[in-house]
Amino acid sequence: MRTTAALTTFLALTFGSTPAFAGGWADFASAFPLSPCQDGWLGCIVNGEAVGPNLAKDSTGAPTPSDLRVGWFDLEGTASFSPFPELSAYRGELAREPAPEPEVADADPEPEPARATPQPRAQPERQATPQPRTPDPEPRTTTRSAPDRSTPPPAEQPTETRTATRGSGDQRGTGRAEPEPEPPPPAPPEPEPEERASSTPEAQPTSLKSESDDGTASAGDADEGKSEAVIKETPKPSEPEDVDCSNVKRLEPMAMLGRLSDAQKECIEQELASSPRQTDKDKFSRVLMSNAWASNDRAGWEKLVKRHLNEIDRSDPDLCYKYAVHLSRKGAGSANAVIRWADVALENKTVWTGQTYTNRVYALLRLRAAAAQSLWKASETKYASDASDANRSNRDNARNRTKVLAREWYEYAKSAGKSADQARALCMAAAGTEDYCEGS
Amino acid sequence: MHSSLIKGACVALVVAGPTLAFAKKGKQEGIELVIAVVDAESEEPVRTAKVRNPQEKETQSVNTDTGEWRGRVLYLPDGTEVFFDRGMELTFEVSAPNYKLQKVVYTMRKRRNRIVVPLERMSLDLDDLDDDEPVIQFGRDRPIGGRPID
Repeated sequence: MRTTAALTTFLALTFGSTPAFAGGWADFASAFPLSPCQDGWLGCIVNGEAVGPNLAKDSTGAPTPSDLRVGWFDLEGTASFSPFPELSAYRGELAREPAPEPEVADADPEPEPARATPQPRAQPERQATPQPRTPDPEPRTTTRSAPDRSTPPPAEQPTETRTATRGSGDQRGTGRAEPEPEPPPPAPPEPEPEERASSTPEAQPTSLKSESDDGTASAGDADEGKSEAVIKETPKPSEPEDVDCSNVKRLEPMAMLGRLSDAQKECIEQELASSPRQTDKDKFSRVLMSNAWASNDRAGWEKLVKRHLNEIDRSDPDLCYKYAVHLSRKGAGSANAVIRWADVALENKTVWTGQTYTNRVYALLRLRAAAAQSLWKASETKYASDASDANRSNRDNARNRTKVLAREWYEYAKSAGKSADQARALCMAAAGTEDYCEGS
Repeated sequence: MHSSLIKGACVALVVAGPTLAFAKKGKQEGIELVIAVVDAESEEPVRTAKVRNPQEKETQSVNTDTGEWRGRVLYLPDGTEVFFDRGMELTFEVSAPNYKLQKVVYTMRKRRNRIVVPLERMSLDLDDLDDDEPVIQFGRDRPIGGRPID
């Protein structure tokens, strides 16, 4: 019994206590800090001594956590004591700057071979330096898998390029001489892939070309190449589907093409209605107007412009001018509106300068006079059928207004050196005499 | 005999009296002048035309049915009346909406004073305005200095 009890006790102590002592590395996490250096880095050199996440030793040789500023046993400052260290100097070799990317014309179907060739060579070197140091000079780049794209250049190229590039990294520097043997790949359309980040500028043309040329690139690249090729054909198909209209600038290109979707327009309308600032309303309204004009929706454009001028802002003389011209084509029914908005445009005519000023002012005065004449004719016709006092009054007013506006037009035409024949004829017709138009 | 003489004198007065009376009336009224305003191309009357004499300085409308104006006298601003008479040279300015002003100088005759004034159409062609239509700019914030902000 005693033996059994003793044996049991021994076994329990032996095996039962073991787990209590056997701890994992996680139990010592605090002994291995991830940022032992005062500057926050994982490793640094302090007074010639390397400091890292591993255990450090104090003056007595006892192991201590590397981020411990004062030794536990000797109470002396460790390598991490000073909170004002200098950054450790990097003693490795800096990666060479890639060769400047030659300028490639947009939508150039046949790029020069010289431009194509350097790119593959650069890629293996980029692969060797996983973190390119040179910033991308151009926004247009390929996908992040640019290094992969380097591998699948056009069919003829891969073998040649690889063999060429594997020779040495210096080839990139002399790469421009080497392009000769390599046939140029078909030029990819460039503008679309601009959105994607790229590692180096050298990779960009290559990736673009590889994408356009080779649909059988690496798995990830193939889809991207195809998608980009598709994107190039149909500009940014994803954008119309995006109903986030908070950034109106992003929608301006589509608005210029008249391709805003209904969802986007509704979103913009909501933003316009909810925006407290008049300047923001102005921006949203202009996007809508531009879209309506580009899509040839004149009726919708007219409504938008009318709202813009009446509720948002009427200080833009170009907009007023454009609106007045648009209304002048609708006949005598819009003549009053033509005169009104022509006057508003003339109030801000100082925005224009030079020949633009002369042409626009002349055109506006001409629009006004023509509109007044149409009203005069309508009132005369009405009076001829019904010689009431009201019609007579309207007729006289219309004629007087025509006379006045025609004379203003005539006077400006003479002073600006523009053609004044029509203005003079209208002035005399409205006044019924030459004296009014020629007199002082 | 005295009775026969008296009777003859009475007859003469009866006959001559109205004649003298008629002669006075013609001088006071003036000779009528008719101005017919028509379209130069279609020769249709212009119902909305107006006629004006520089001396009178008043525009008078033509007949809306016939397009004609009739007159015998001018009323000047100072109240003077000018009756149309033979040999008198008159100037008129004829105008209408959408037509060019036409000036007419006419010398009065004893009778049948009718003139036809053709008016040429006046078109204000605005089609050339399309060439200069401005492009509406998008909204951009601008500082007080005037330089645009991206």
